[in-house]
Amino acid sequence: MKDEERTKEQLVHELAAVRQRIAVLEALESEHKRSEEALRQNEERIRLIVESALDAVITMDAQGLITGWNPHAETIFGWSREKVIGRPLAKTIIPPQYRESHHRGLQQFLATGEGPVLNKRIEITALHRDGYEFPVELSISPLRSGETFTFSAFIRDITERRRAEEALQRAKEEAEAANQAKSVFLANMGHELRTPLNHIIGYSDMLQEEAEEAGQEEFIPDLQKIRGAGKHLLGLINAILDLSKIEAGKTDLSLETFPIPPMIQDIVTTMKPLVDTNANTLEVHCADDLGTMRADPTKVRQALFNLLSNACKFTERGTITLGVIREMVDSAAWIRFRVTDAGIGMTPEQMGKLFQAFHQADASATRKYGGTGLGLAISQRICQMMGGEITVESALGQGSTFTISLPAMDVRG
Amino acid sequence: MTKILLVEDNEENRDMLSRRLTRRGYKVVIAMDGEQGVTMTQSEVPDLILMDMDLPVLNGWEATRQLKAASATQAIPIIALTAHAMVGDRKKALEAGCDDYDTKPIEFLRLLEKIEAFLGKETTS
Repeated sequence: MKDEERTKEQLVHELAAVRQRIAVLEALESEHKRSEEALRQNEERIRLIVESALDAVITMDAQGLITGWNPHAETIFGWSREKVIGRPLAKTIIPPQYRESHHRGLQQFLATGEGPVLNKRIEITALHRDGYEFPVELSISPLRSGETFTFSAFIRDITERRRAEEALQRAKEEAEAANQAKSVFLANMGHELRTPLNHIIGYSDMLQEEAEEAGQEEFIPDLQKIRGAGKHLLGLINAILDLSKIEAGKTDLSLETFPIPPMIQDIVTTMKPLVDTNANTLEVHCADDLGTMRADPTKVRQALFNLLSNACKFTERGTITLGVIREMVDSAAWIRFRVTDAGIGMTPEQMGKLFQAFHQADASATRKYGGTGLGLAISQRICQMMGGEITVESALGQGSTFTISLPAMDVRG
Repeated sequence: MTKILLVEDNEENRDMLSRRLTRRGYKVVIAMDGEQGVTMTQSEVPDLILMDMDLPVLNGWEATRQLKAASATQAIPIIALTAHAMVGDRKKALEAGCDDYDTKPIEFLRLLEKIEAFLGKETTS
């Protein structure tokens, strides 16, 4: 009985152990099912990623046969998946002239584990089913599976990108050639335009002398007009050539250290006739400590002349002020030439375009006031070459103030 | 009468300069190119030469070099005339042996001053 009891007890135990083992196995099996399901889902996800990729995704085995071909590969190469699986990759998408090196690269990899095109992004020519070649970007990675290899390639058709790059390159070359042609053209035109113009100016000059000698004074005003128009045109041509030289970087500065007050005095004397033209008055305020500056004196004069003659042009029966000061900014000395007129002033929009070539405040101003529309553009470029700039403050009907700021670049003299 | 040789291939420039110089009392002889300029300097023996630099056959730089190399002609002052108002042109003209330099367009009175400066020196020396 005791034995029977024990046997029964033992059986119950064993049964429980078996049940437990079954439960464990069941758990394991469902775990296995779950992970199989997860694996399946994962594979499905990867397949979908490959299927929907915008790059061609192609796989190839170690024999060089195609094993994978996604829809985008069908699109760019023209081969359907059914037709292409199992075909030699080289004959399918590699142009004949590159097949030999493809073959060598593959053999090299299988022998040494290294290949010239692996694990990087390269640009290469591919072959379409219809026989034409097109540029692609390609990256190939080798995948070891057991004793053998699979190669996966991501391929992107870059025909459009290549076309855009080529168009860009062509456009750049054309622009450079055009710019060069422009410079040569301007240099030649400058000479060709000036020669006949010099004849117009020269002959009107000569006729004027002869008219004076012959006592035919009535011709003189007309001859002066011809000469004046010729001079104006010559100024215009010179200004255009000046500007194109500056823009081509062919203008050199000839730097000198010179005292400022004598230059101002000289400019005031030269400006006198222009100041008088519109019955204006020129007031000059020079600070006592101006001293000397280091700059190209001819170019400083040119810029100052330009600002002053503009002020004279746009002011009538008013006062034009030229103020010159020396100022320290962050321990560097600057010279500021400030030209204030009592002229017609400008709106902010007009000021914005002021320093661009061929812009006066507006087109009607050109007709009314003359000028080339180049003076300020040239002056601004000149001042920038010397490390400074021209700034402007103005309001419509309130007159304008133009300021040339140039580094003095010199010890106080 | 003071004689000036004008070497200039451009007809209008030649006409203008020679007329204006003639009116100021100079005798003007004309050469159309550099080679003619050299031979006419030898035959005419002018008191001064106005030499365009862009000349056919023989350019002005070369003609000047030849004239300045020959003992018979080297003392005759030469004023170079160039169309290019380039900084380097002045140096180039003086290196070729020109005694002075002026740019086109010709400012007649300025050129006249230069001419008179040489001829004045000639007569006093």
